[in-house]
Amino acid sequence: MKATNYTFTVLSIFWGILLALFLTSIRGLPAQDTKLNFKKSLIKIEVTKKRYNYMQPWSKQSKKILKTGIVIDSDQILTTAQGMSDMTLVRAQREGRGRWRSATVKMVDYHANLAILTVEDAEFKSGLEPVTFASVPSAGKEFEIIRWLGSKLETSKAYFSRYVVAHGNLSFVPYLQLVATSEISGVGWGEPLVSDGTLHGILAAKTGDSASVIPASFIRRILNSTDTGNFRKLGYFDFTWQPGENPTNLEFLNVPEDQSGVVVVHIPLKKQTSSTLKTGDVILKVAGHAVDSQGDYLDEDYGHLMFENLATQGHWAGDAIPILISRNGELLEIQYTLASANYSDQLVPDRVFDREPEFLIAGGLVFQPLNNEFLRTWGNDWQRRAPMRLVYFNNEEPTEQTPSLVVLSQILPADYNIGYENYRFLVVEKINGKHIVNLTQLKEAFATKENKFHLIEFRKGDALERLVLDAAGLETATQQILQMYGISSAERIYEN
Amino acid sequence: MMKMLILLLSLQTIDAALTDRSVVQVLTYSQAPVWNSPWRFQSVQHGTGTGFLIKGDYIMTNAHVVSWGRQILIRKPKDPRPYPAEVVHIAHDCDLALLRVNNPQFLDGMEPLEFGPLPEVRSTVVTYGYPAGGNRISFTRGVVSRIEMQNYVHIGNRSFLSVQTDAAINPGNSGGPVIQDDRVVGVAFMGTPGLENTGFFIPFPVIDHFLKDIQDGVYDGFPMAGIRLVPLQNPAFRNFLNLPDNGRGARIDSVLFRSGYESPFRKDDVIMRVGDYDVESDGTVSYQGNRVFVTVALLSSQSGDLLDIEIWRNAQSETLQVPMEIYDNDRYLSNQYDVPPRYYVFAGLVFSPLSLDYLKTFGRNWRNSANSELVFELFYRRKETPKKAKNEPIVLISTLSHPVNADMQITSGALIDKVNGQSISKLEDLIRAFESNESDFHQIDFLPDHSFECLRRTEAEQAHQEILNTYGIPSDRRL
Repeated sequence: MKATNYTFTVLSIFWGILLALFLTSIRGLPAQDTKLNFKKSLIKIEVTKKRYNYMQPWSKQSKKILKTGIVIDSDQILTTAQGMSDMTLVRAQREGRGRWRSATVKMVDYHANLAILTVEDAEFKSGLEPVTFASVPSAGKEFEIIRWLGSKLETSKAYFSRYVVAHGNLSFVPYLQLVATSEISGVGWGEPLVSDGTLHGILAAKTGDSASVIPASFIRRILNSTDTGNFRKLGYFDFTWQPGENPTNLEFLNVPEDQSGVVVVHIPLKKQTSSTLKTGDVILKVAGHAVDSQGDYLDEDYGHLMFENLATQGHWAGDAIPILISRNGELLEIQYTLASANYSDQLVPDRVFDREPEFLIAGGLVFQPLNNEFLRTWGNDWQRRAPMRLVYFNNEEPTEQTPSLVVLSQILPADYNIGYENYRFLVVEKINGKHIVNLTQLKEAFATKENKFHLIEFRKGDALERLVLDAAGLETATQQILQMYGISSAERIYEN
Repeated sequence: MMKMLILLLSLQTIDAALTDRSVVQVLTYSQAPVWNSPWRFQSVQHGTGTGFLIKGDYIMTNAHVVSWGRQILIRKPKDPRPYPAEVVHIAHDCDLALLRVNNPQFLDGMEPLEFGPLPEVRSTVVTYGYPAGGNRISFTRGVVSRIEMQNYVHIGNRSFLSVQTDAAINPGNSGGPVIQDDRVVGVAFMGTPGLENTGFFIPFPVIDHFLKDIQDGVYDGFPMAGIRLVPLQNPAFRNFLNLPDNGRGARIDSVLFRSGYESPFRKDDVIMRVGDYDVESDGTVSYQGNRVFVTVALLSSQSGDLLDIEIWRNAQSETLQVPMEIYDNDRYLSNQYDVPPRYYVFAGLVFSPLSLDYLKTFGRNWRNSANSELVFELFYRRKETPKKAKNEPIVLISTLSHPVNADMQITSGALIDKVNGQSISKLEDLIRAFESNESDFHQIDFLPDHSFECLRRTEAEQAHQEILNTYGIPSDRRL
């Protein structure tokens, strides 16, 4: 799931930049006439979606996002999943002008960051030209990034930088991504990356001059699984490993001298699968590929890649994958079952899609599930700016007893809760003696009481640990507070 | 009428002149350690402050004026000679120190200043000192703006009574007397960057605690109740505890865990009265006419004293005789002074206890730039799971490169869990775990995800001394 290594990412970025500079300097080939090739393939997409403020989970606004799609089949439009969540209307437009047509989302996979749209309108569909997926790896190529900018087709040069295995924009699952350098700005919304008349990938993000591109080979694999009607979820390795670059470590673990690999250092407390991997096992081969001491294998198409990429190469969540390990010097082949990518398996879910924020208001106390959507209200820099203790729960693991957390996010001041106004960002431990991990349990606990009171206990730490509310007055107070603050409902809870 | 006023003014001038002679400049040449290279010291720093003579021929000043001092010199007004001084008592928590000059000529023409009580809000005070911007003694006048408990920034994690004034207090004023009616009512000690006309001085009740504390020759410190006290103002909570809604009493929300100490307090005890002070529901008492947080009531207690504390427990009033305890096991969470860091260097691996001072080496923004695991361990784990927390968490601070350790991938900023299978909860454990190992390898396990590094034992031991020599480390340990 993650590498316990403090240096290699930085180094690889450094070499990547050097390589990119080198490539940029030697280019200068004449451009092809992309305009002719892609005019009938490139679609402008407009998504109207609900926008939430997790600090006021009862309210919502809407916003519009403009994206780019590309026709990949007679009537299928490919784009990224980013921005597609919580949508209320999707429309498509051809050739950067003319009438907008309503579109239907046929498939969206947030972990893979891909979506497929279709438009029913016959006039819209007629004359669309599907693009061809590149069948060769993109290494060393010169590309163009294309999009409709206003009603004009914009093309911009891009250069291959490298392949990396990194987690998707919306996911914690690592998979293959192409990094390209380009000076174009404001992209990362599904724009195609093309070369020689074929599609090499679509843009998922861009930071500085560096664009993250979902490569064609990965897109094809996801689409094939969707086509067969047998939609498969992305899988990943759920253990933590450490590079085996210190030979003394491997010697200590009695690894045969001619072998290299990486060391398993942590198995999650709450395992999805019954894999027999243990800490201290040294991973030598994964799915038949030798793993080197940095954790890379040699991919026949893409060169050296982190072995975690193998979880998405022809395998899916739930598939068993053979791993050759050295356990205390003995070579063993075990079958490792790939974990399935679910946001809800994290103690603090990183993303919540297609759900309005959950909350429960009791006597002015606002309770919400702790997730990173809530923490993102502190802005892009939330990992630094949000309360340190809440952010740090991201470093902690879910357990059977505590798979998730509920936080008192704020108190809407009123007479009923006088004296408590400033308490906030406290993780709920118990209500009326009952352990709380979600809002359903919280609501049930409020249906009971301790004598005439509700006793709310928070996680032990450096903040408040207990609050008491008057049970008889709770319902009336809640209604009054809702009215006072113009909130239409006291709760929004999804059954777990 | 006019004449009287002039007379009064001139009288004050004469008195002030007497006082001047007892106010001295303190010059300190100090050298603080480098917390991420714990055998080294920074280059020598030169600082100045102010001090004044008190009974017993001591010079009183701030602790921060003389911290890490290698050489301390005193300059008297109208005397060109520098007099070397030594620190006799130093209290880093309340930022006070007493110095002594061994040259008998030093006292010529000086008279000890007397202390006066806590001044009243709105009354006028004058600060005496040697602030930056000139060499002669300087006076500034101001009013007492407010009186409350304030964090003392020198130590960083203690709050005591503090008086705010609009008399200018600038660098160099530190340690100088604040005078009212010819008596010292406080010691100037800090300002607030970004706020104008806010200087702070240490008032007499704090100074008095310090002076009484050292009468037995040893400074112990200020007692702490070891509880987290919160306001008790919500009617439902008062009702839950069977207390009338009369604005009295503050609630104990939690009792801090201290190893080997059993607190007389329990969660949800309500503190009604501490010593002579009634506690209000917002946690304050009326202290000489000022509304101040209740911990002010502990100021006059010394270690081991018994203090009567009236509590409300199980719907009944009880008076506990609470022995006053000094707690200093949280020194790693405060700014530390005068005692250089503990460390151990083995085969180029530098180990030292996790501390605030070490985290500060990550820069001003250390909360974000240091490994969040270290911040969590130091500031949160101890409070959340005190029984599981390590007594003295040890960090691999850096690795001094040598072929014997050059293949290690984890080389700095990592928290130690175990060495050679032995759990490490203090530096001595770590040394023992290395020194008693007889297997072929040394194995170091890190927190939180159990990553590890190994060294070959024989080679590591052979390289040990060579690495110390190469990097100029005088000793492999400081305990």
